[in-house]
Amino acid sequence: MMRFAMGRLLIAIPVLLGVSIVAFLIIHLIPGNPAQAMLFGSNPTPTQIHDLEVRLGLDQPLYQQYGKYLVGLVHGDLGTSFVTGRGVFSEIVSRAPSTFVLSGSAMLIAIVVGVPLGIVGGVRPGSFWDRAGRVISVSGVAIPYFWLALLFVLIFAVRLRLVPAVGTQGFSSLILPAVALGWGYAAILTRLVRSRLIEEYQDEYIKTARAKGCGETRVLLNHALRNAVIPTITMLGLQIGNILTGAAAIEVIFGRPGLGSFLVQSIAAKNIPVVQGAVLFIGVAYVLINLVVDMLVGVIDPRTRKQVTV
Amino acid sequence: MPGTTAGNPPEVVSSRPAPDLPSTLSRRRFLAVGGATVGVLGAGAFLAACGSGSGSSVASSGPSDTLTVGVYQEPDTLDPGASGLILSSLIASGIFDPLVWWLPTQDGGKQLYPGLATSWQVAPDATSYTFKLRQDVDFHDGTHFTAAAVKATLDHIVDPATKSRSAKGALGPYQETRIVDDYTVEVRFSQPNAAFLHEMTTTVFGISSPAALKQYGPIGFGSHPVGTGPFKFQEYVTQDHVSLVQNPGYKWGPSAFGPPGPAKLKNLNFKILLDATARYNALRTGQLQLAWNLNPSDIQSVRSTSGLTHYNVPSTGQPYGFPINVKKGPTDDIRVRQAINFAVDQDTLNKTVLQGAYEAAHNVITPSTPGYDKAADTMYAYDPVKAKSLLDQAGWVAAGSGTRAKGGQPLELEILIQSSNGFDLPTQYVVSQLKAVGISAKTSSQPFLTAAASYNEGVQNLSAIFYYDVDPYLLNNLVTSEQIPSGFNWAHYSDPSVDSGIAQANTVVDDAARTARYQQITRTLMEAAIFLPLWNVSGVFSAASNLTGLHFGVTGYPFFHAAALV
Repeated sequence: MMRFAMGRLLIAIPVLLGVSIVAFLIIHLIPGNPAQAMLFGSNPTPTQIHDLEVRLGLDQPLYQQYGKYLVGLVHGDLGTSFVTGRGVFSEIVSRAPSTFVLSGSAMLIAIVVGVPLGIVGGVRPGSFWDRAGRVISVSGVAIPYFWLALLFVLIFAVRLRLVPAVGTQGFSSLILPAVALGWGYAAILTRLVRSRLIEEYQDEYIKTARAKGCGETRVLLNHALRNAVIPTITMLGLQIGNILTGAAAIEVIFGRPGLGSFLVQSIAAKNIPVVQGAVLFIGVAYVLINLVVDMLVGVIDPRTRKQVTV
Repeated sequence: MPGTTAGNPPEVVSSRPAPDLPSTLSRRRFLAVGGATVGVLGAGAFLAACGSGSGSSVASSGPSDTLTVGVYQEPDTLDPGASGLILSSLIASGIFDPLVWWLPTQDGGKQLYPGLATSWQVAPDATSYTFKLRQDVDFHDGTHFTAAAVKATLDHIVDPATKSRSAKGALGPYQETRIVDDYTVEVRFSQPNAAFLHEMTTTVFGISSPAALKQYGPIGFGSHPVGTGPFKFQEYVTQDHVSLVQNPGYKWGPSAFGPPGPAKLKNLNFKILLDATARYNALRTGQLQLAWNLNPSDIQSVRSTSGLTHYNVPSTGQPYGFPINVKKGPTDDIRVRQAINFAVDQDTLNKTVLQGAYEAAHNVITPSTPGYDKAADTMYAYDPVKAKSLLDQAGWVAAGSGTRAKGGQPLELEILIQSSNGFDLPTQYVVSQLKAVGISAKTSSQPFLTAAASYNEGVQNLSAIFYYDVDPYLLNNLVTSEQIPSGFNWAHYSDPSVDSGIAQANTVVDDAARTARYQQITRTLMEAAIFLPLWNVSGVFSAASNLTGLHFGVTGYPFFHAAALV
């Protein structure tokens, strides 16, 4: 298992290097230069703009700028924000918890709602609960989360006054954004677990288990579900990127500070170090979460461990 | 003060918990939420019932000494001398006082009131201003206000390290500040600067504490603002809120705001909510008592909701509109530019697309700006027939496709707008009106700073702008040739007589004579058809009806000195 994890981490290095190069190049393709953007509105002379460029190191060729950035990175330095002059790492870290809390809660809701609904539907296809679950899953997949978010605010905050419409104070302000963001993933999970279970139940090993006198609960939990849940966990890992993107929109709708909206604003302000840092940070988070997911799959399914030959 | 969306949030100044916005969830209610969440998805009819806010009412938040204002962007800095955002000025107007106030009067005029200066004198050639200062004023940090503070503030603005985005330009040809005695100060310019009389009344020239400027440095002051205003800075949590607390010793407000004394509110919070719908919802739930710049459709609802009040306060400046690039074809032909102006019906735009939320604009500056020439308003009164005949004259003849053409070349415009500044829907309307006279247009959208760089390059035919400022000298930033490479002259307009006309107008101290000069200049600009006006800039605020005592400045933004929640 250790060897497996180390192998995956090694593979992640070129991936992250690629991510940082793409992030670096893309922001340089946007029209206008950062020095001019920073001085906009103050009637800067060309000399002032040039001086600032030199101070920010923007006068050097791209490969040199990128090289310097990499050297800093190896020393654990993500650079300083063009706008605030603060370290990029602390800028990101101060915003990340809010985004992770939101994404994590959404994920939790997806699992708590989606998996049981999928199990009920998979065990008894066509039953009342299966049909109810399908209504929820179809609606969850069909309704965009940002629309659902607006709807929730209208009903539960504006009309019923049960929860605040905006803000980050306490648990009550987390409910609507987390449910709005998690709903669609709950729907995906429901469908996935249900269809996998139905498939597994038709497999020969289930018949064998039953023939050996296994009870239905044990058939479900120890045999069918264990197999059905493997693609589900892999899918969850892959959805992390989508959930983080969704969190950016949800953060704006609910007035929550966070990494997503910070990244969007930094792109608009041409704050290159922050954009690079944030993209890299999200990239690392993505790689790590998927590593955990793969290890989890390894725990559940010994077959995958044997196939890995790094 | 350009209305930009630029800038990243400054640092977190303190990590105190957010102010207590009402939070309304008991455990029993939470269970009800859970049940209702599951129940809601099938309830399409329920949805429709919730969709319309008109005619409804909101629960009054009741008397309170805490006012929370919903604002639409992040402050770039809280140093008024450095900021380029109106938002920062709005917040800073609670923390800082100007030397002199310039405020609208009941009869629709404007009047100067003593602020930190008790009297002022302008040299006949407008190259120096002498102020007599109040002797009983203290800064929030306990230091005493003297002439040295005025000098420190202005010197801070011109310090390159400050990177002033708005104040430095407004200060014009600043030379030096001379301390005559402790309570007399003379501000000198290298050239005549008549605009300073109005400009100095804006919050960007709010007087800063010299001790704090020294302690925190030119950039650090932006996260530790110290002034003499009715509220003291408490904290700024990035992406979340700025909070101010009452300054109990305040007694030097302008007489226009009522008897001297501290603010009625104990706490003044600015909650950052980028999304207009979020601000509207928070206003309806009572989390906000004042919301800035709601969507036109929500403004319509506010107007018909009991318990809410809408303010649309006229502002000085340049209207929302499209500068027309005179250097790029086909708009390098004045007849095409005139045709564009004739083709667009601003009154219908405001009534339909903008749902009557604002006021249609027909000029290069708004009616409340000195130098506005009312007669020029009708120069391009909506007339699509005239537009078509101008295009015919210019050689752009009607073609089968609906788009006019000249020598096989179709009549096409590039429109580049700033994203998220309210231009999207109105632009679609303009495009459809242009289409009706045979001009086809391609629209793209960029964030403000990116768009500004593209505008300076001149890749577009029509750009998008709005501009808040108090003196007609603002035209110096918008239409003079030196502003083409990196400023706001996005029409790429260059006329030596206008350049020198604006410089000369700024030497005239007499108000009436100066206004007459500017009327001449705005008329010339209208004749050159370098700008398609759409709707006037204004202060757009929706409030809980129990919020009283707001006073609005000439740029349409409120002062909170006498504000109270009753």
